Amino acid sequence: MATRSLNDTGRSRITHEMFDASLSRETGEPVLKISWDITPLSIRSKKKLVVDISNDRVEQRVELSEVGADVGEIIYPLSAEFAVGVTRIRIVAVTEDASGIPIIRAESVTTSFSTSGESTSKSILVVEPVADLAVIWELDFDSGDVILKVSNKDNLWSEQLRQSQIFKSTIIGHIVYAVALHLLATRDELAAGLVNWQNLLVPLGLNIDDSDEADVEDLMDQARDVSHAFQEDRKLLSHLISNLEEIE
Amino acid sequence: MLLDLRVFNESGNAKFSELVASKHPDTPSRAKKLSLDDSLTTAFISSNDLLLPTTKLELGQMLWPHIGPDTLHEDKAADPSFWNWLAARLMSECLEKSKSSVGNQKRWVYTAGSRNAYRHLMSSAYLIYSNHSDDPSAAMAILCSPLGVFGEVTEQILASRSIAGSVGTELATSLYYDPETKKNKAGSGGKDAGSPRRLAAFLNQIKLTVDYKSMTVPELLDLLPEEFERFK
Repeated sequence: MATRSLNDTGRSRITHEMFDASLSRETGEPVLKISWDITPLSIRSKKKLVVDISNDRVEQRVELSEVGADVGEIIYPLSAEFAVGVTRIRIVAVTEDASGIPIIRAESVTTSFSTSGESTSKSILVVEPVADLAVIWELDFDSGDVILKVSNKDNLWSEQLRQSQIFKSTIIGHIVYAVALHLLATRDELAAGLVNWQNLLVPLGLNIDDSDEADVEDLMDQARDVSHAFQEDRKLLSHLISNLEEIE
Repeated sequence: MLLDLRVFNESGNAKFSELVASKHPDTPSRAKKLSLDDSLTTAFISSNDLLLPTTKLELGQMLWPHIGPDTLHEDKAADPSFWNWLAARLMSECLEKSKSSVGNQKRWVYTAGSRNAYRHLMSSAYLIYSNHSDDPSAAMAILCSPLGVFGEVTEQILASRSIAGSVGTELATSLYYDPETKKNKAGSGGKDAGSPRRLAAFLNQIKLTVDYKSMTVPELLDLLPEEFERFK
C-alpha cells in the first residue's frame, strides 16, 4: 500500500481553511493579499508568522505579523520580479526552542498563482502562457504544481484562448486524466500542489491506496474513469454545446 | 567593452537555441555574430561604461545600474531574451578564459522552470549579485568565480532556491571563500565531508524543523556538524 504523508515532523498544517491569498497583477504591479486565522492551531508560545514568496528565480520573505497575531490581513506590493511567471507562497509559523533556535511550528502547503492576471489560493490549475511553446498546450508537474502551459505565440492565450470556454471545456478532460494518472503513479511523498487535486478527485473515484499494486493499464483505465466522472459531474458536454449555439 | 545591451527577438532566440544545440565546433564565434546582428537583436542601452566582465561579480556590477530595481529596464532582469543575448555575446570570451567547451545547453539558453532556470550562467550570476547588492562580499563564494564556470559551490547553493534566497549564500561564503586569496578554499569543489553538496543536504534536512532562514551566519555555523570544521 502506498504511504503518503505530508507532515511527519511534528509540525502542524496551516490548512486552506485557515488562510486566503490572492495575487493581483492586472495593473502590471503585483500585489499579494493574505488574510489568515490560525486560532485552530492553538499555538500559545510566542511566535512569528512569515510568508516565503518565490518564483523560478528568486525567493523573498515577508513578515505577516510582528506580534504573531493569530488573525490578520496584509496587503503587500511585490517587486517587479513577480509580475510574470508562476509565483508560489508558503506561510510559516515560527517559535523558538529553549536554546533560541527558531523552530517551524506550522506551515501551509505551497500555494501557486497563475501568471495570467489575478489568481487566488483556491486555484488548483496554474496557467502559464509561454511565447515560444511549440504546441498549443501541455501540462507540467514542476515543483509539485499542476502547470498548464499554453502557447501565447502572437498573443494566442492572452487575446484568444483565455476567454474561450470552448478551449477550456475541450482540454479539461485531458488535464484531469493526466493529473489522475500522475497521482496514481506517484510513489513517493505527494507534492504539496497536488493535495487539492487529490481532494477533488477522490470523491470521483480516484483510489490511490491500491495504486502501487495495479498494473499500468489498470491505472490508465481508472484515470480515464475519473476524467469521465469529472466531465459528467461538471456537465461539460452540455456547456460546450450551449457555447457553440451562442456563437452560431 | 560591450558598447550596448540588447535583447534577441523571436528569431534571434530561435537561431541561438539551434546553434547551441548543434554543438558546432565554431559555436562561440557564431554566437557572437548572432548577438551583433541588428536583424536579430534590439539594443536598449548604449554606453561606454559597459566593461567586459570576467567574473560573476563584475557581471553584476556592470548590469546593476542598468537593469536593477527601479531602473528603466528592470524588466530585462526577468527576460530570457536578454539573458540569451548576453550569453551569446559573452560565450567566446567566457570559454576562452575557462578553456572549456560549450557543454550543457542550459548554461547558455535560458530554460524556464525551477529545476532549470538557475543553470543559466549569466542569469544566475546576476541573480546572486542582485540578492546581495547591498553587500556583495556576502556572496563571494559564488561571485568570485569566472563567468564561464558554474562550479560546485554555485551548483549546490543555487539548486535550492530557499538556500540561495536566504542566509545560505552568506553561510557558503563564510565557509568556502578565502578573502585573502579572493578564491574559494581548496576542497570546496569536492563532494566529501564538509563540501557544498553536504552543506545543501544539511540545510535541506534541517529545514523540515528548523527555520534556518531566520538565523544568522554565526548561529548557523554553531549548528553545523563537525564535518564542516575544516572550512571554518
